[in-house]
Amino acid sequence: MQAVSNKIKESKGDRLFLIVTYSLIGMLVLIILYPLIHVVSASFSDPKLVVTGKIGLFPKGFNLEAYRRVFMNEEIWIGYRNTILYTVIGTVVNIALTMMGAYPLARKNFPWRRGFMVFFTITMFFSGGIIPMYLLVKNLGLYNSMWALILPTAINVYNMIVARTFIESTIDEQIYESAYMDGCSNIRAFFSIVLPLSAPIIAVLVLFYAVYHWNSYFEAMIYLKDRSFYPLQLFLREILVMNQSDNVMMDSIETDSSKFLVAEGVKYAVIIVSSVPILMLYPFLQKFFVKGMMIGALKG
Amino acid sequence: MKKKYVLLLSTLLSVSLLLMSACSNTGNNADHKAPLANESTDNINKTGMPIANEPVHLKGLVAKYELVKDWNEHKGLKDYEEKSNVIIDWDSVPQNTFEERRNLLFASNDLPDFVMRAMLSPQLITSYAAAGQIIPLDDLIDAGYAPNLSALMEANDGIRKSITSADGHIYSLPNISEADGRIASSWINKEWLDKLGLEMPTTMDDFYEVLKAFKEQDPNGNGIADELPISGYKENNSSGNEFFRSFYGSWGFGGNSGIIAPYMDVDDEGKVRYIATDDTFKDMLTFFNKLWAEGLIDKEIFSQDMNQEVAKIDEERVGYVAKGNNNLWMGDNRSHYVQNPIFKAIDGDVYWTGVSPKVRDLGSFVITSKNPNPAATLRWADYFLSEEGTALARLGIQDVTYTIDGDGFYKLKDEFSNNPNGLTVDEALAEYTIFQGGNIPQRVTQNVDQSAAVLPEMIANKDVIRPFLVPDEKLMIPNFTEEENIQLSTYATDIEAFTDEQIVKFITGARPIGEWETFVETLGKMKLDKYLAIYQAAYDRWNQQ
Amino acid sequence: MAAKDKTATSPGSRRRRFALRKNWDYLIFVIPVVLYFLIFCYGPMYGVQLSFKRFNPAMGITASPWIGMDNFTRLFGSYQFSRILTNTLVINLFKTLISFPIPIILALMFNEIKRERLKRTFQTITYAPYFISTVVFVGIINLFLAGENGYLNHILDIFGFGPIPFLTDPHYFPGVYIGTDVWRNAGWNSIIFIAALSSVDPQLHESAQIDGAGRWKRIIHVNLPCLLPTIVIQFILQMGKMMTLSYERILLMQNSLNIESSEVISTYAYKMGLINMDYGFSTAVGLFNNVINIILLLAANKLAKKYSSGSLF
Repeated sequence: MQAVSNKIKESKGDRLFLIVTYSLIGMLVLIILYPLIHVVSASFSDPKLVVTGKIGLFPKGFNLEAYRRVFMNEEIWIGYRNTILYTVIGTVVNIALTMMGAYPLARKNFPWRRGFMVFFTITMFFSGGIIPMYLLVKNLGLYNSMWALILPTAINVYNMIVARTFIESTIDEQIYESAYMDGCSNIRAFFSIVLPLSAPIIAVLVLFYAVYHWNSYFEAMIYLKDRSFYPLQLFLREILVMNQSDNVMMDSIETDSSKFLVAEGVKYAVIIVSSVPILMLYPFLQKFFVKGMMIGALKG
Repeated sequence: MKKKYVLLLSTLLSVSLLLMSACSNTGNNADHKAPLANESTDNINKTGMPIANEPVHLKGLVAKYELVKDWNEHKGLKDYEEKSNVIIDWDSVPQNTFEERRNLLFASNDLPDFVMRAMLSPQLITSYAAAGQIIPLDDLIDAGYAPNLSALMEANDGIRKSITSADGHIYSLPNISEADGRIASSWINKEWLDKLGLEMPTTMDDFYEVLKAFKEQDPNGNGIADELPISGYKENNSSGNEFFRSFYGSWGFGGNSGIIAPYMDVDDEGKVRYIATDDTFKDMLTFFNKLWAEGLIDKEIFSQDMNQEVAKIDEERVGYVAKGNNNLWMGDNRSHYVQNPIFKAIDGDVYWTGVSPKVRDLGSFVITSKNPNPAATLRWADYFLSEEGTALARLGIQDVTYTIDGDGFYKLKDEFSNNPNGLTVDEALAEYTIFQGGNIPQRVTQNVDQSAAVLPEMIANKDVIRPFLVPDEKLMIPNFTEEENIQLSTYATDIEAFTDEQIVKFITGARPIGEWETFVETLGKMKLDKYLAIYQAAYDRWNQQ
Repeated sequence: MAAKDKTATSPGSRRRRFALRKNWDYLIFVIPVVLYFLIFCYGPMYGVQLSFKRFNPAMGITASPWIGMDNFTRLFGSYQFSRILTNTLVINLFKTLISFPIPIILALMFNEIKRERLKRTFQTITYAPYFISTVVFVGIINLFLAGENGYLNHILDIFGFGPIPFLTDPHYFPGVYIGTDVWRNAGWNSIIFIAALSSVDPQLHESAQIDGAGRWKRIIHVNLPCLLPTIVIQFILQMGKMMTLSYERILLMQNSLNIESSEVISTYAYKMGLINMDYGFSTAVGLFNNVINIILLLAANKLAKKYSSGSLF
């Protein structure tokens, strides 16, 4: 911690402040980390010990059965491929449309922007529910295709508002003014000013949308029929509930508690397998936060 | 200025209204097609195989149990397809996502030809039938397209009565269980009894003494008083915790532990009673409150899940537990546990309430109004009610997965019952059988049942309680009319949720038993009488059929 | 296009019309967006009428019979109604008071860390819990908080506190819900604030530093004002969610002992509506919720407009 106070000489108060901040963050990270390590350890442990709460920080009864079960399942790989495809295409569509909506809403010279805002916000509160949506998807011919997962969720109003707020509060009116002086149209201003300056918010949007696509299963469950189109989450859910108690008890040739217990270990392995790739996204995207700041610095 | 927004908004809204009405015109065309309308019956044989002379193609929706292979690539079903000439294109939906899909297909009237393992509650069958989405099967049955079911119904009147809906029609096929699998068990730790030199209790008072001994005398010998005389786990359904239900019969309540009709049984005069307001029930609660107060019941019984319960059994900490129809689920310590006899708490008749009716309509198979070949479809499903068909469902293909011995007993081949790759039997049979997870039409008898229920020691366990099973005529299977369904929906949730909640409070002492009268009064305010009257009507209807 | 003619009459609208003529090119962006909302959001909205209907699937939504306010009377008439309403509001109130500000503080603290790699690592850790599935999340809650064997009670025991029945005493439910909610979501929710902070002009900091402002002062006078528009918008949106709670997690955390404080509108609707496929009823519950949500959102928006720079509309 000492090493941080460098370059410019910091006052005593600042040093104290930093120490407090660092210790708070340190404590917080520990609190958050402990259960996380537990999940990782549990995924490598003997499920019996997991259930009885014997696993602390380190795996006990080291055991790869859960991972074997997850990876032996060839459908997992099909699911991975599909999920990556849906996430990439879906996110591109999301970002494009969201920014296209957010930009005019953030501009004072766009007439009726309040009206549009109301028009968009209403949809956060009133939806027709699942039945009309299903019929719509079916009638548009999207059923059992990738687009059923992408088009109906192409814009999230919440994200659009977030983007609008960012554009509105970080990009100075003067910058537009000088661009207009140079004969710049609103469209060109979007590409030459707004997009570059919005790097941090686009990074956030990518994160929000990509994570949404990565984790979503409900649309897939309803709109997809062919197993070869299933995303990862659907296959994982299937593994997850496999051997779950209630039904098995009813009618089964052999009911053995060890089977429930395997499922217990699988629960943890599934989390690791499904979240690690998407967790990697943050450190990568965070670079754009910094980049955005640099451009922000240049503008002055 | 404000006007502009309003104008813009209203323009946009009216455009969308136009769009709405365009959308809403689709998908509402219910076709109420009479069965047999345009099916060429010459093509369909009423007995024997093939079912159809010329191949019949059908679209089926099925809840694929996780351990069963995709129904389109299933060896057992392919074998049946060749035999029957009924070729099915399956929408094989994983069971954990099935309900959403099924409900949506029905809600948007986008129906398959039939649904297998449909898992429709009687309420849903009634409302889909009322909406004309599923068709009555009785005409087809009477015309001879369900030879196996017809033969069974002739031999046993009880069957028709059990599968007939409130409107007098049959919509689904039964699951007939003549094997011990229908009897649920509870388990007492015999090893502990022996260690402490205790007799097997036969009355509630003896049982109480035994539980106290379990708690205080360290039967697992680890020197810590970590014994849990009674354990169990949190259930997500209503109708109380299983440990508690397992004792209903000790106080003379019949019924099906309230699984089919929550907190209800039928007295000797044929009156439906709400047992949770009975004074005897209050005695029962007082007794359990005593057990709770003295720490004889696992404090986590209402909050832990089943895996945690199994783990405690595994650690040698549990004295009594009610669960399952065999004890294999209990893991390595299972040999310590035996079925306990009924602990009598009253002088009168006592029952074993952990029993399902022999014949149950599980809503497992329905034919929709879209089906052009209902007769062929019915025959296809009826096959599973024959011994041969049930064998296909449960054991697979003869000489490939099983053999039949001289006494007519079916036996799985060794490579399946004792798989060399370490697969469990259910897993090894994944592409040969469809019974995993239950919910199919079938007739399970001891000789085609390969489950743990046929093991000699399990039969011996069941013999302890067999004489006390609630008689079939008391195991009511209420079927409601659409009108009754609608009325029930307003009363049922409140009444059931309130009863569940208060009973737990009485047991744990969160509410003193002195407030019993208020509890009964509150139920009265929730229109318990109307609720009961609906059940009474349903019972009478069922009983008369 | 009647709208256009009318607008020409008032002087204020002339400016607007001029603005439209000059800025018509926004429409290239707006039209596809509006189309999306018309087709996928407004198109299916005819389903809302189910709140006043008894849904008959074979007849479809538009032809199902009207039953007036029956679904609403059923909701309001239930003995549980006042309880589930209170529980929902109490939990959401705590959410606004506790779960809402924590991510902001977190973002401000992270912003003080100047070592990039450390910062990134810490942030990745704090947002990781967001990815744990609900089922396992509740499993972990049980592990740490359940009964006498929960880890937390072991720790409390060391300090001489008796075991606390976190999961089985109804009084603790809102606290447990909020605490675990913060654990799981605070890191994730701070991302948006971190992004907003990254766009603060470094020059502002430099000149403040020259003026002799310490770190604390700069947070108050530089960072916070820059964050304010984002905070205000997030707050308004949070107000629009006051009646909403996802049923999945609560259902899993619910048990017969804590049900008194854990039954909320969404779990009740789930039990009554969705399990019995009573679409009419569940739509009605949704409509009731959202009308209140909108009222709260509009109120918050009005307040924000009066007292701060940012607002939703």
